[in-house]
Amino acid sequence: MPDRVAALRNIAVGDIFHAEASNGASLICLTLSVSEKTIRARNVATQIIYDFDRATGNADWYVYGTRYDCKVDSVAPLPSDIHQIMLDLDRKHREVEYRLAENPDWTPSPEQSHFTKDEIRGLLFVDKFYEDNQI
Amino acid sequence: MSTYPLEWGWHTSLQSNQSSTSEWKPKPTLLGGAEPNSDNQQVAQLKCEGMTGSSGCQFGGSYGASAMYNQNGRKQCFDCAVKERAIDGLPGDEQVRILRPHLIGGK
Repeated sequence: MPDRVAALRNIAVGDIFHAEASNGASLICLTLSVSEKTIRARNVATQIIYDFDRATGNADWYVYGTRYDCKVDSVAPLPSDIHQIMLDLDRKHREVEYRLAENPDWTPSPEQSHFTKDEIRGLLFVDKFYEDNQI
Repeated sequence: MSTYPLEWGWHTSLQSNQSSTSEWKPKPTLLGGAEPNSDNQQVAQLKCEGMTGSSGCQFGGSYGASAMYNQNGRKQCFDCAVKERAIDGLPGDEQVRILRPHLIGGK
């Protein structure tokens, strides 16, 4: 448990860590800010922002009226190429959010909605990597 | 005793919506905020909105199936989510693993 506390304390802005939600969702989180009590992070896939308790690594997620518990389960640093793929995914999904906010009828092109080979490689990698490197 | 013009209405029983009051309840929004459920009943009732483009299940097949994923602003069933990402040529277990970050429904 002390290792877990230390691992959570060491999360810094720009780090990518992983949390699991009680519905089985995999949250690949990019750290946006860190305060004394809270780690604020954005899911690179859904762009949902979570406030994790910095002491416990827990966060609440309300989706369509249902609450799920989320728990940080890995802070292992990703290899640099995979880290970059996750940042690119974050940027890609953020652009979709912006476009939809500007025009709700906007639809992404196939190039924007299809996963590239690199993205597929990155997503398969993180799924296994975080499972093998839990805190 | 003078009455300040802006005092009008102060003595009516206004319903407070301040977060500090015990009666306060979040207003429902599309992404939640209403009375939270402790089960997945509400999520299980989400319907697939089909995929962007012209080959989603909105044009037949399993249209209206329960949505499990949220991608590109749409709630989608597994089949549509797979097509949306063009990963239909991959093994099923890899499709599930790739889509896990977009999961909104229950396991």
